Amino acid sequence: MKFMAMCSSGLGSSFMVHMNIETALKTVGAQGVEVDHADLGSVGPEAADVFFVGRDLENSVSDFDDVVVLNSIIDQEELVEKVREACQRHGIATTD
Amino acid sequence: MLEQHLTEDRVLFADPADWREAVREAARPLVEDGSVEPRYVEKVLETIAAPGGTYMDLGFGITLAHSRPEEGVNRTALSLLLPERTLHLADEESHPVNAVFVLAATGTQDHQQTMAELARLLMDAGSRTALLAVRSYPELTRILQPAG
Repeated sequence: MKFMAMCSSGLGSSFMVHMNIETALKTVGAQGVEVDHADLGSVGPEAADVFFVGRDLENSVSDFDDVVVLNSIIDQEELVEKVREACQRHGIATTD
Repeated sequence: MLEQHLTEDRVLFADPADWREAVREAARPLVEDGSVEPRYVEKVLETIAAPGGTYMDLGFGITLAHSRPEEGVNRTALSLLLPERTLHLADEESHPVNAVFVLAATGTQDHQQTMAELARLLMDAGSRTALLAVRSYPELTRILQPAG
């Protein structure tokens, strides 16, 4: 299972989301999820199982299967909730 | 570590007319000390104005203006501008700006460390709120120290 954070540069905000997803996975007690980050141009739909993007980039990832759109990329409460939902969608056990 | 990046000359309190002036002004210390080439700032402005460019609005009025290393980054650096009045990124009402960070990322470990510290600061609701209320450099250093 792989979660991927994406932004246009692949360095700034996507990296921040990457770190925050790792924190969120610990919060919900999910295991076995690999996390990475990339820029929009460099990866295709096969690169991960779930893609996380900020709301302004939603239109750039319309051909990806499972996209999680974040209203704010520094709102950890929102991220924890959406990471938990993503885990549930993919049958990953969570403890919290 | 963050306080080593956000030195007094890289933290600005200003009253820019719009988001473009805010980003330009925020980036000025990094251009002056050679951390980035002037073209880096132009690229950032161009990206924000392009469709989807407002993704640099992290939420809570905080903008992280940045581009890729090959757009003219010489070394990892960070600067901050706190505008007196709320601005709007790309002139969009849904993207208020109360703080502008400019990140110059080299793509190395060094930049990841800086981002990790910035994330820790910004994810914390208390320090985030405190950051937006800062009106002087000494006030900022008091916020940075526990996070750094």
